[in-house]
Amino acid sequence: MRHSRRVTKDLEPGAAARGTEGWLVGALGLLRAAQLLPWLAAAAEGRWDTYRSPVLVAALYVAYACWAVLLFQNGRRHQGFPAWWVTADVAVNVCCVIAVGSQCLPGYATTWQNWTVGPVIGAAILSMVFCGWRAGIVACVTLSAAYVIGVRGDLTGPAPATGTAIGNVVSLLAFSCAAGFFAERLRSTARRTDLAAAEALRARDAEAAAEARRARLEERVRQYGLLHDNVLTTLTLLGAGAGGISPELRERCTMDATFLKALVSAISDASPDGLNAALGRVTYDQGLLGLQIHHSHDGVAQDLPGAVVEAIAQAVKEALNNVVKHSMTREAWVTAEGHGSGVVVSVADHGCGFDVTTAGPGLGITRSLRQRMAAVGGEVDIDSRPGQGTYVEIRWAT
Amino acid sequence: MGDMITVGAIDDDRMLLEMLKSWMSAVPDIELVHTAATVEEYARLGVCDQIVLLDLNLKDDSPPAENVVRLTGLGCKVLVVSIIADQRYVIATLEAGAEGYLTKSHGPDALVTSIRQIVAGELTPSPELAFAVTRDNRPARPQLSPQESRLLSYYARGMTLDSAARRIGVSPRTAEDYLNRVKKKYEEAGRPARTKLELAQCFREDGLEDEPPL
Repeated sequence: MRHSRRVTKDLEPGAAARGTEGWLVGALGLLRAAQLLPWLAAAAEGRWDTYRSPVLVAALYVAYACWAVLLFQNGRRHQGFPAWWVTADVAVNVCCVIAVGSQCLPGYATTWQNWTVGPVIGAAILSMVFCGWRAGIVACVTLSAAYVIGVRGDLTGPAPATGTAIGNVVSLLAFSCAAGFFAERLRSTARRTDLAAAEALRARDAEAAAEARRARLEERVRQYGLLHDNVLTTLTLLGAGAGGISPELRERCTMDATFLKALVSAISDASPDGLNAALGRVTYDQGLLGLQIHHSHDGVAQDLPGAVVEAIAQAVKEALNNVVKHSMTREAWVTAEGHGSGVVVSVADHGCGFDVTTAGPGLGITRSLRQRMAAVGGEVDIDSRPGQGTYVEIRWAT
Repeated sequence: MGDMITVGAIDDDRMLLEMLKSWMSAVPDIELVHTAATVEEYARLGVCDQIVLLDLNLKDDSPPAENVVRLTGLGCKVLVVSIIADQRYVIATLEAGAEGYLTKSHGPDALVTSIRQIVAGELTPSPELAFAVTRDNRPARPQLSPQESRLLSYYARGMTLDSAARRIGVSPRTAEDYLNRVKKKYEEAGRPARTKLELAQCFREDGLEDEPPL
C-alpha cells in the first residue's frame, strides 16, 4: 500500500515539466543576482567621479534591484513568466542601459562602472527562455540596440572601445541563444519523462481494473456455478413436469430456466455484459410471450461494440416477435457463433414460413431487420418458404 | 415396435429419476427398469437395458467419455442428457460411442421419440449435438467436407433438415446421408481412444489393475 502511494506521487501527471519550469526560474534568478552584485564591489572602490550624476546611477541600481526581486518572486509563484512580465523586464532594462550608459563619463560606459551590462544579458536570456525564439530574438535585438545607444559616447573620441562593445553585444546574443537551446532540451526531456510516467500510470490503472474485473468474474462464476447446481436444475425439472404443478407455473419455470441457462453459460464465456447475456435477456422476454427457445452460443468475441450488441439483440427480438405472431409454432432456435472477430447470429423456427418474394408480413420484417443491421455495418439474410419454417441469419464483421 | 423397450437412467438427481419414471409409465412401449446415481452403481446391478439415459456430468466427477465406453461395453445404447451443452464433453461422448445427445429442457415427447429412433437405428442428431460438432475446433478433429459442414451448421442453427438441404441445394435424402456420415466420422475418430479405455476397463474388471497398460 505504502509502495503504491509513493509510486502515485512520482507518477503525478506533468510533474517533470513543472519541476523543470521551477528550476529554470531559480537558475535565471541566481544568474540575474550574479550579474547585478559585482557592481557593489566597483562602488566600494568609491570611483563616483566616473558618473555625471552618481546619485541617479545609485538610485537606478536600487530601483532595478527591487524590480528584479519582484520579477523573480512572481516567477517563482507562477513557475514561469507571463509575456507581459518579460516585456516589462525588457523595458526596464532598455531604460536602465540607456540611462546608466549615458550617465557614464566618456570611456567608462564599456567598463565595470556600467552595472547594466550583465543584467541586460540576463533580460535577453529570460525572454529567450520564456517567450520562445521569435519574441526572444526581438528582445535581444532591442536590448542590443539600447546597449549601443547607452555606450555611444565610448564609440567615438580618441580611444574608441568599439571592440568591447561588440564583444558585449555578441555575448548577449550567444548566451541567449545557448540558454534558449538548453532550456528547450530540458523541457523536451521533461515532456518525455511525463509521457512515460503517464503511460506507466495508465498501464497500472488498466492492470488494477483488469484485476478487479477478474476477481468479480471469478466470484460470479462461482455464484453461477451454485445457481446451476441448485436453482437451474430445479427449475428445469419443474418446467419439464416434475411435481405435478399447473401448466402456467410449468411454463414460467421453463422460461426462468432458459434465462438462467443463458446467463450461466454466458458467464462461463467470461462476458457478463456481452452479446450472450444480451441474447439471454431477449430470449427470456420472448419466453414470456410463450415461446420455447433453444439458445446455443460459442466463441463470441468479448469486445463487440455496444451498438452492435444492441442492434443484434433488437434484431433477434424482432425476429422472435415475428415467430410468435406469424409462425404458428411455439418453439425457436437462437444461436450465436464467433467467427474471428465477427459474429453470426441466427433465429430459426419450424413454423409455417412465408414466401420471401411476395409482399406480406415477410417483406416488412426483412426491410426492418436489414435497416437495423446496416446501421452498424451488419447484414441480414432471410430464408423462408411456405410450410418450411423461417431462418434469419444476422452477420456482423469488423 | 411390438416389443417393450427397456430403459435405464443414470442421474444423480432423484427428482429427475422420479419424473422419468412417471413419464415412462404413461408410455406403452417403453419401460424404465433401472435407475442409478452413478455408472459404477448401475454396473453393479449386473443388468443391461437396451438404452441408458446418461447424465453428462455426474456428481462423482467420472469422465463422461469413460462412462459412455463402460455402458456400451455392457451392451447398452447410450443417450446423453444434460442441462447445459458443454461442447467439449458432448463431443467426447459422441466419440466414445454415444447414440445421441439431448438437453433436459426438451420435454418427455422429444425423449420418447429419440428412444424409439435409437431402437429403430435411425436417430437424427439433435441440433444441440450438431452445434457442438460445428464448433469443434480441435486440431485433430475429423475432417468434414464443405457440403457436410454447411448442412450441419444450418441444421445446428435450428433449420429443419429439409430446409437445410434445400438451402445447400441437395435432396433431403442426401442431407440425411451427410448427417450419418458426420456421426460415423466422429465414431471412427474416437475408436483408438475407445479401445484403450475398453482395455483399461477389462483390466479393472478382471482385477488386473496393477498390470501395466498396453
